[in-house]
Amino acid sequence: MISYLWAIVSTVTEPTPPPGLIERFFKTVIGFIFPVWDGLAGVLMAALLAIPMWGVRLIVLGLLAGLAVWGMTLPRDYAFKGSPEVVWYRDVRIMAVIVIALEMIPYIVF
Amino acid sequence: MANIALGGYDLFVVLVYMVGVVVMGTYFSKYVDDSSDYFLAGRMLPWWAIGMSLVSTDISSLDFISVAGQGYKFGIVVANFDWIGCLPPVILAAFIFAPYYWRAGIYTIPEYLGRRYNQWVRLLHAVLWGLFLVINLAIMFWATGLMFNELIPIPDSFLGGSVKAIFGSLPWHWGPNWQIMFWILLIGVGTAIYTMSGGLSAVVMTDVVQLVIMFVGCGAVIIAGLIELGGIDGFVSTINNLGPEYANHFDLLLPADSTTPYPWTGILFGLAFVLAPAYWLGNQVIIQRTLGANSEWDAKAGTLWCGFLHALIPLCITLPGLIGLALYHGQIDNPDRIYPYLLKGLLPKGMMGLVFAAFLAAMMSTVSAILNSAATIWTKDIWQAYIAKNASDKQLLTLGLVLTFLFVIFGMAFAPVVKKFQSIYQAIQNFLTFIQGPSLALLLLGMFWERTTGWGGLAGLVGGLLLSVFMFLGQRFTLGTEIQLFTQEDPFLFIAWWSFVGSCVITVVVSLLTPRHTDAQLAGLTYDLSLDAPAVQATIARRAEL
Repeated sequence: MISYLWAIVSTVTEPTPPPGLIERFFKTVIGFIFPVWDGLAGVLMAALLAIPMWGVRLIVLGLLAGLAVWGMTLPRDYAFKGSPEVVWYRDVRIMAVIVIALEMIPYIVF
Repeated sequence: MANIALGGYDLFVVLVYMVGVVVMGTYFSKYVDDSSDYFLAGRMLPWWAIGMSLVSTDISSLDFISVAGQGYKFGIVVANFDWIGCLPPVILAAFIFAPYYWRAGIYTIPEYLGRRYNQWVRLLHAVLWGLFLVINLAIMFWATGLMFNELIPIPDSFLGGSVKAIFGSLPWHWGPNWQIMFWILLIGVGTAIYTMSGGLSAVVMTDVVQLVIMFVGCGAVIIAGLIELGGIDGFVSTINNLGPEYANHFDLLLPADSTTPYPWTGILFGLAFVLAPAYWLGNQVIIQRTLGANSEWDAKAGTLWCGFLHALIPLCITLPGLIGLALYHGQIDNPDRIYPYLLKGLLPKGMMGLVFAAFLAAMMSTVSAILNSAATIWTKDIWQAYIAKNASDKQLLTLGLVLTFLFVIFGMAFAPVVKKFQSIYQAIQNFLTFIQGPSLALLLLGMFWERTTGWGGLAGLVGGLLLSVFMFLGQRFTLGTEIQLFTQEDPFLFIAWWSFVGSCVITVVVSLLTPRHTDAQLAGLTYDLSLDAPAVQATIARRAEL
């Protein structure tokens, strides 16, 4: 299968591919579905463009904060499973919060 | 590309590095007695080594060149690949996937997929990844040999002209490319020696040293650059004064209609939701380190340690691109030349050897990881699973060694072919994008939705692959026409997203139309924090012994 994929991909990525059956097939199919695709893309893009950049930043920071909160809700036993000792600095939930907090800094600053 | 002239001290540093790494890696051969030692380091890896090895494996020397070039051209937005494109999946890997894989006692991702879905899914996934890794090896060899030769061309008179006489007389594509082949041979042989002799232990422990060298080398470049620019304030103000074209160079998130390849929509949906999780949760090269962990806690902590270290990577590979922009704006015609340009302009000759050793370290750690993982997949998922089911452990260990040797020979021998088929190089890069979306869909649905069936998984994998190829080819054929599929010229982030969505839909629909697995079949194969239940653990242990 992989050689089949390469054969197709290699053919179309040559500098001057001769127009052939494959190209006509793709243009026909895409021409057929394009109105629906373009309409859907237009709606999606309009919705995404409506989100202000500060909102995007909030989404990213919310995603990271959500991960931290979810991590902290994991059972204590699960966090220490296999650990040689049960001390706070071996709690993987705390480790995760520290790493996430570090990563949030650039998304706040930039 | 700007050439770097290495002085005697530089060459001495590089030589010490090469010999030191090979000797260190070979030292671990005394710990290899069976196939588990070779493929999974005897499950003795500590958390700190796992984390450092994960980062070292992820960053190759090509990243230094290409990411710095992208940083020069597009700004700090490229750092998303190491931040939002790394940490969320790393957290998921640490808390869910790594401990789960570790408990299940598996060797490979296809092995898990085979247990969760069916053997067709395992075979298809193993063949796709097995081929990809081996062919990617040849490409990495060629690209790196080419890069090193541009950085440090081997003169005809090198070692009295004997190198040219020997390599230049080789037949086929090797002789005409003798300088590049020299670099390929140097990297290939050095890496193969320690990978074959020490297995995963050697790979991981040399990765630790290599990461330290990478950080020290990159730190030297950054400090020298910032001093030259008058500190951080001078650096920022220089770029801000370059003009409106560079106004977004310090923006991590670009608008959805940005004409760069990195609008926030692509970064969030394509990178953060698909490519990054697929890479960190389902890439054998990455996962293999956690499978060799000393304990479940080491697997979790090692993965989190990787997340911490990875947050520093943009300082090593993106920041130099921006420093280069501030220092040499308008002086280079190709952004990919900025890193060597920086080295030449900033570092004293003694330091160049260290940075060059960092380049070598990055390359060797990636190559050794690919070699070990490719050998694991071909041995466990293809040879043992379908050809010689009753093979003894000794035979599997021998096969692993032989395959590692054959792969490195294949990679070196066929590396020059990449030059003749630039389209294959592109195709391979895109091929990874093709398989990431469907692979992630199968992993997530298999782990979190018990209703997913074997046929559903197979249909999702094949369907997602075909959808990726369709979008890729469709974009190529319609580029510049009125029916162009995506606005970006190279929409790999969006292809990954839509192939993931498509694969999920196909898997769900076919699963609902086919009989569900019994609870006994699913025991220990789906996410459940109560995996400690004795009955489930017994099932997992029984499967691990098969």
